[in-house]
Amino acid sequence: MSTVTLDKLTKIYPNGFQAITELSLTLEDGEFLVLVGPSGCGKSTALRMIAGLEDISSGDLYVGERRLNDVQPKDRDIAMVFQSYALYPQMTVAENIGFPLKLRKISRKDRQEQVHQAAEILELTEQLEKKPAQLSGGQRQRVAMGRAIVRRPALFLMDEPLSNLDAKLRVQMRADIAGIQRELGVTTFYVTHDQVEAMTMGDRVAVIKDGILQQAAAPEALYENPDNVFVAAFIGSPSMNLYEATLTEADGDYRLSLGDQALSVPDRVVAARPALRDYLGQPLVVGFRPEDLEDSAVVPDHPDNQRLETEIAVREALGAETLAHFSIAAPSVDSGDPDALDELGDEESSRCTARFSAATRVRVGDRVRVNVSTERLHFFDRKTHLAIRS
Amino acid sequence: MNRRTFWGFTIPSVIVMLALMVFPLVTTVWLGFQKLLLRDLNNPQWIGFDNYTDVLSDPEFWAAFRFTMIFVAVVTPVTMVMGLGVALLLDRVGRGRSLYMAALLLPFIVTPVVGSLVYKDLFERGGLISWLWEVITDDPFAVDASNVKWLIIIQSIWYIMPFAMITFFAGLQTLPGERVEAAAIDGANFLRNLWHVVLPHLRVLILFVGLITIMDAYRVYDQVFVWTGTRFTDAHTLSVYNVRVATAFDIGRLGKGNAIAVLNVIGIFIVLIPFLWRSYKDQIAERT
Repeated sequence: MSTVTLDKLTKIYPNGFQAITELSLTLEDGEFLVLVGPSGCGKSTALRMIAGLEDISSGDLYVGERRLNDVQPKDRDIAMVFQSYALYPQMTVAENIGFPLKLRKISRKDRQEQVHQAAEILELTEQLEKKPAQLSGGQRQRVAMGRAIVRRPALFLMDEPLSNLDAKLRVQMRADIAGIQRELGVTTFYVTHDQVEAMTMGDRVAVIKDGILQQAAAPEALYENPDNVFVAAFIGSPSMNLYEATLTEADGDYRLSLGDQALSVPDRVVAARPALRDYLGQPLVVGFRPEDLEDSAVVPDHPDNQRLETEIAVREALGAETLAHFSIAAPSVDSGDPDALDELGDEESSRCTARFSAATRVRVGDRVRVNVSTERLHFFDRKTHLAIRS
Repeated sequence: MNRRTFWGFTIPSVIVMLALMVFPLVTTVWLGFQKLLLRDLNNPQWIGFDNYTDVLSDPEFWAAFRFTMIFVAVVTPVTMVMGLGVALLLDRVGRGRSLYMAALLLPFIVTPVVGSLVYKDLFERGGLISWLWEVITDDPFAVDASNVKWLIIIQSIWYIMPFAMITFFAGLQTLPGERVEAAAIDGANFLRNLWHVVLPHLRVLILFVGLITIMDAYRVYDQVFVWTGTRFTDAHTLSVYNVRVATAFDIGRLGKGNAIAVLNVIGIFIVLIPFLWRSYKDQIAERT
């Protein structure tokens, strides 16, 4: 077990396509790092470079002090779990798990012992003599995990290991994998396109887009302080609402014009972001998360000048909460996520999603007033899409 | 499905099977017990097992049997191993793959008789290889009884190999890349990968190609006939022997010919038993 260092890893394919640009990350010993991004962002390429399945065009890869750029996959002391599980169909579960040990010429007796240990951790003891075809998807996934953990490698690589499972099983395996990883303490590099997996499993989450690292931070930090518009929109479900708006100052009060409506912004918010003063009177990007909106009928005690008026277009009652969709008369902002649904609306009006508490009585077509927690607004530069903070 | 629909779907194929397989087979067996000459077709005589005792005591039958067995025993494994090897190489070729494929398939596409004639002419006096041989050794190369068997075998390998190659190549295209990569990370080198990943994946195809190749090799006719004609009867295979007997001296001993055909069917069947058993077991295993 050891630290893993990616130093300006770059991948350029022979056809000139640059899949990864100067990716630098350090995984601490025992850390669970999730690399997350939309499809085609190069995250699997990054993983495959670490595994040795793709050449590294430039940059360096270290596990501990050892530079791995030109080391064969089998000599890298890493184990990988594939999306398709990639089990050997003719072998039993025990043979599948023991295969890497067999290739390392470990005696039959030791092999059996280690396979049984792994099977115990993964609750596969009953299945050891079965063939992969006789197992459920979740069990196959565990066998693939078993094949990885039995080797006690310096690093686990996992390439979307849960995406072939149904939703319910995925939630369970999510917790199981995170639990096993913590139990074994093996440094883990996990790739997914699912930001929920990223947030729930990772000690740290690295967001990547078009082969370029956007931000790497603990899940909470990523959620609270996204570095740019893409991260803000990508992390969190439903996504953060992002609009073009203008902040102005009059008589010492700050007003945020959002289309034909305006919100009063507390002094503290601007004071915490001195740079925001440079944007006064100019268009910028403002963002607020769905949970920072509330039905004013549920929470009447809210400053009147921190409310939006709108008409409910769609309502989704989820039991514990209710999602309300409506439109806001302000231009929306393209976060750059190719997987995101096309924004509802046009130049003048954009879609907005609010997460109301279950006590709300709103119906489709109702005109409602929506409380905005202006303390929790996010501001970004309109051109660079970078967060305005200091 | 009601009874009428069932028979409606089944009867056509039953009729075709009866007409094209069962009827000829039964006729062949029946004719094998007759004395029947081509020039006297209207006068068959039942002679019981006389044709069989005749054939089984003919040293030429046993010579043909021996060469057929050698032919099957050499051609089958060599074409399969070579076919797999070439398929693995072809799988690694990036650019111009279809060009290589076309070149490799050429022997398979050419009519066997034409291919055999071309190939034979290379070795005959005045042929390219015969001439090269003369340049190197000062003696022109000549096809004779001592080398004709091996020339036939070499040409047959060249002719049959593309079938194994194209089948295995197709099989390799369905091998999931992630499984190969998983093996590489697990620590498999080329041979381990071949043994634990590639061959198990091709298992059914290996069985299939083996079955077809053995059958084809057992029944080989064109190449042998072109190379030997009426010469080198020592290098005749069972099929050639069969035709020779059935058409000999313009008498045309059809009864005896049919008896040989029956023996050949039985022979093929015996050779194939292990393969048929294997694939039967596979099917059973698949269903459970």
